[in-house]
Amino acid sequence: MPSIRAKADISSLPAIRDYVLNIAREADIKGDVPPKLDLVLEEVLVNVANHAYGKHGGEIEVDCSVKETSDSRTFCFQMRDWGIYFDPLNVDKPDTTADIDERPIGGLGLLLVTTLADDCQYTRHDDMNILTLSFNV
Amino acid sequence: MDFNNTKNGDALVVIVSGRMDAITASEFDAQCQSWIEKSETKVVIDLSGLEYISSAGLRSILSAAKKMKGAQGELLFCGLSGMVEEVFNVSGFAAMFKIYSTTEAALAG
Repeated sequence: MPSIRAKADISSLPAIRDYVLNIAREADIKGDVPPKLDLVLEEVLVNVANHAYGKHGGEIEVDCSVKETSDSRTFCFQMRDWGIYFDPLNVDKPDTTADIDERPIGGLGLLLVTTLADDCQYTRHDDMNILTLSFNV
Repeated sequence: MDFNNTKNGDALVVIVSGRMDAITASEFDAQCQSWIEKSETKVVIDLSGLEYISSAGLRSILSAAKKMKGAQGELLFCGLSGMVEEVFNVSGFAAMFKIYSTTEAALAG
């Protein structure tokens, strides 16, 4: 399956969403994995769109694959960007017990990603950030 | 995202349907602003028709709740299920807000 390359911008969300969910559909992946994919792909795209590049913007590349062993099946989603070094797995977790007055606005996207994906890996390779999220299917 | 508003006694019941994502979430902010301008102080948000919510949606809801509280009002929620309910649980929103199973329960609460 070829990868998809798009502007690191929220306007790319519909195209990336169609790309990822179509691959999941073709692989006959059902249950709660497609809704989880739907959510995490938005969260990681928004994160890169807001933080990876300066005002000149940049691109992202996404691909998906299904890995099968004799006793397991895993859907892998990978997003790559060429922005500043950023490890989304190494950020402080927001306080989810604070009340309405004390709660800062924002910071929940990456918490949703790390909670919903079964496995998360981040690698910096040369000038590229690589985030791989896996889901047991 | 669609909003269907019905006045029920002192409360405003808002049925939200569709997707609350990074592209559409600002519509919720605009709606909340109109409730505050109309001096609504008890707004029951029925999410049973909401297919999807991301952190951008949570951001709008929290921002709206802060503004409502500042105007001596409050947001109550009902009809959560599936991924919407899971997102509320993971984020702690389920504990932070008053959540009811049905609109009737929210109106009585």
